[in-house]
Amino acid sequence: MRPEHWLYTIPLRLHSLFRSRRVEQDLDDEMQYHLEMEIRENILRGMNREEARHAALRKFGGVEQVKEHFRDRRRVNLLDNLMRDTRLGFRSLRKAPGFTVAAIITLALGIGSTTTIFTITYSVLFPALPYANAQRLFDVLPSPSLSEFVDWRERNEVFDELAAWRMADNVWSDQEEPERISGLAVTANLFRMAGVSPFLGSDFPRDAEKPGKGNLVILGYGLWQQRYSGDRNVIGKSVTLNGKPFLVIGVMPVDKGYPSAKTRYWLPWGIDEDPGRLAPFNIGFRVVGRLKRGITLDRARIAMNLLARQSPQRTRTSEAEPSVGLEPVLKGQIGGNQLTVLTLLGSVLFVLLIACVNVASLILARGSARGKETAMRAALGATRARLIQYMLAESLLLSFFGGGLGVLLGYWGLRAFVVLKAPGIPGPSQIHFDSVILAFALGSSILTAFVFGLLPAIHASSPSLVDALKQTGRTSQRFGNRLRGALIVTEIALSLTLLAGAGLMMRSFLLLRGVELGFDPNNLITVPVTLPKTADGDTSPQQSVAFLDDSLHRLRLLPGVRETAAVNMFPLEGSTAHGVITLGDDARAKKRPVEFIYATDTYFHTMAIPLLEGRGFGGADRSGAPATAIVSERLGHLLWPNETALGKKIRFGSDPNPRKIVGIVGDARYGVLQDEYRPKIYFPYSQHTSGFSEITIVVRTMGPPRSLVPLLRREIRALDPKVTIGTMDTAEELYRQWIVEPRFYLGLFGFFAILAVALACVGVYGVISYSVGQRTQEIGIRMAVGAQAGDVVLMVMKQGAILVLLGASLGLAGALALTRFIKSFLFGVTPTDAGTLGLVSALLIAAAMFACLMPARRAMKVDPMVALRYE
Amino acid sequence: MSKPSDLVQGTLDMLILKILALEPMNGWALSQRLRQVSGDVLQVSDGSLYPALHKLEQEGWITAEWKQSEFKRRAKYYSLTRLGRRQLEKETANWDRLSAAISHVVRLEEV
Repeated sequence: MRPEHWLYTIPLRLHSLFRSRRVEQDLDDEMQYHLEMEIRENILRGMNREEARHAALRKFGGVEQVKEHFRDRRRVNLLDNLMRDTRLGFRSLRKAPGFTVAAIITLALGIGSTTTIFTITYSVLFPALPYANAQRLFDVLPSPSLSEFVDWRERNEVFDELAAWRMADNVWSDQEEPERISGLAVTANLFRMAGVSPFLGSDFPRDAEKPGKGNLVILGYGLWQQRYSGDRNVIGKSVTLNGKPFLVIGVMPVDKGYPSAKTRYWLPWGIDEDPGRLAPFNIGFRVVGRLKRGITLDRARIAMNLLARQSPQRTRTSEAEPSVGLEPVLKGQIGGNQLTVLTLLGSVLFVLLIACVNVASLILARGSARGKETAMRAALGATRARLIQYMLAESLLLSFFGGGLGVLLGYWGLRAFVVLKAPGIPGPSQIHFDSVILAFALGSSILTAFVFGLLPAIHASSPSLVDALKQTGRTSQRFGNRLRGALIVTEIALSLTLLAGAGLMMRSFLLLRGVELGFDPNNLITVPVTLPKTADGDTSPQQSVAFLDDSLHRLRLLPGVRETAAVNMFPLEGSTAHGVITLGDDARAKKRPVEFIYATDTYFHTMAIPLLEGRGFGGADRSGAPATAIVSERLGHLLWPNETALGKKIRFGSDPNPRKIVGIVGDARYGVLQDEYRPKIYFPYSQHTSGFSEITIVVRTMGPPRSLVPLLRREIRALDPKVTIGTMDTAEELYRQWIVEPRFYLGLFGFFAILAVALACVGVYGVISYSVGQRTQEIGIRMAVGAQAGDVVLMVMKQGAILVLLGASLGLAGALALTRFIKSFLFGVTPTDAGTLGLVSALLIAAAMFACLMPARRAMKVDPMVALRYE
Repeated sequence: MSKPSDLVQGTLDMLILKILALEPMNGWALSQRLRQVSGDVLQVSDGSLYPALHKLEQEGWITAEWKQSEFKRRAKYYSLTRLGRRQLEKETANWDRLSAAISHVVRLEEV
């Protein structure tokens, strides 16, 4: 249609919709006027008043028919009817409170959990823009050298600003407790470029990169809260970084910062003084730029590549054609949790689908129960489309109530997620419950209304009018029964698929919990320490060994401490060191990658790692004494399958001197719990050639280890105030971090699966008991002619069993097809693990059959006399 | 009994448009005018006039407003819109073509 046409018609339609009384009145007036004029004319022709009126009416035809015609022609029937249907539906729902409440709760659960998960998915996939200019920010990859960066910053014509940043580790010693904290060194224009600014104090001045002007620091919100307890007077204070004074000039807002709000602090980067300026290659920094308005990405790429080709250094080193890439900054910010959240979304949609199916079967049962009402409507002239429309309006009503409640539930669910600090899920500041989410909830409500409402509506409006009016009810139910059966099958299939996923995750969780650590994590605490560096930039071996000897000795004397040891890395921290050991002579040398660990002599005892053969490290393994090593049991078996490893010699790395294996200890896990076990070799700490600056002290305590934290800290500080102490974690805490994520997802999947199974069982129960109710008479007759109670139960159970088994086999097929998508959640079990699938199928079938049992028992109690008299 | 006054389908619309093109008028006056100009040959039942008017209004060809009539009574006056004028031209052209063709055919038979 044409717009000009709408100009006339839309006001008319709106008028007739919203001011229907007025329109009706106008119609009356118009007819009335016509008749009166006609009567006047007739009187003028000589008729008397009565005659004149009759003649006029006769000539006009049926006044009411004309009016009805008008009403139909107004073409707002759809909306008009919808309003009327809604009112009607509201009344009829109020009359069936049981059905209404059941349907609304089911829908609320479905829509609520979907909304929660959708919100999280949405936040992960489309994070709120962290900086004002995010859309125009591009990383320049690969990063150029520093001199190139300086050159490009001046000469490029496609970026408003080019900025650079690199990691900066500094020891903060303004307070009693020196602490090594990682932050960033940035060019002074970084925040201006990104479009963020401190909420306290000010941004870096433009000259902050110049020599002598750069002793400024901007704090991240986290560091400000933690180290300065959110004190607003921190601005203008001087802090000490690596022994030099820095002025605090700003604090970033809680959710802002570059590249992330989690950055602890920012320092100006004095590029002019940076020694890396002379390096012909990148020294570990990133370049990011804000594209000028109106410049396309392609044009910027070409311009930057041109610039790179002109760069004097590139030509001098005669590298291959330089190629500068530009990557949107936002892309890198979207986490690797997409798979996780999409899997969650998929499974929660299953729950929603089951909820829909459930409500559909409820409506179906109700539809049959009120077949007479429907038939009456049809008899009075309602068309089939009109009946379906009415029933859909009722579904919509249900679904809006369910959706409203669901949004509330979803909101609470979201709060729960945030409170539980779900791993891999964005923090509270990133999750937004906004209009998109509400639109989603609304959309899913409408969609679900159609999903669960349409089939029953079509069925209930089927034109078997006469049957329905006669209320025989026994014939012509075939289609309905088949539909109900199909719903059960769907429900069982969907919930089995979900249950299979949850079962697999349960199984892997149990396996994960069962992983042998190889040491005792109870009453064990780790103290990471950083030794001060000497003038030449490293820690000498003698120095570190001396410090360790002293501190281990002193800590051991503390009350509550049982044993102390030191190691270059601690189990469960996640990081491991890898090296290669060589066996035998050069000619037939066998090389093997291993994880290696330097430990003090008390280490195995402290950790409770069993010594299986030989001896542990001891005084004999001093620096300068013959080099020794201890292997884990598994490494020994790997290297010398048929003999003991004890006394064998190996070489490590590039060290030409052989090391003698003096002991074999039990296998302990060091890396990620989910990873395969890797064999390990231990070397005595005292024989390390260069000395470590970072060491973990391990303390075995008598009681709960947490209470010893202040004591340990004080003791180490007393020994050497320049030593930096990191965060102390107990072994149990470290262990828990590997467990918490799988446990969380298990909980979530488990919740969905249980919800799905519960919904499915309610659905089965509803359908079977409805069917029993319909067959009351038939059952009565069967019993009257001699069927036993057991036969009746069997009959009902068989009816349920066929559907449930059919659903279960479909569900199993679905599980086999879909569980591979949760492979990344699984550990030690394949996605098609037969045992697990079998078990969950059996569980579900049992639950569903139990749901059939109750109506079956009711069928058994049917009194033949009552049933027959029912007619 | 044959009804010579039965209107060819769709011609009523054109007649209404034509009459309203001359001057805006109310429904009753329109029915009088129809009878008058066609010399009582075209008898439109008043009952079918109003639905036709209504249809034209919904199509956006005519528009209505309430005005005082000659007898101090409120009456609904219809007038042609721009769209209606265009529609009238179209229908008149169609009608001319159709009637020319039909009379042509009718004459042929007489020869």
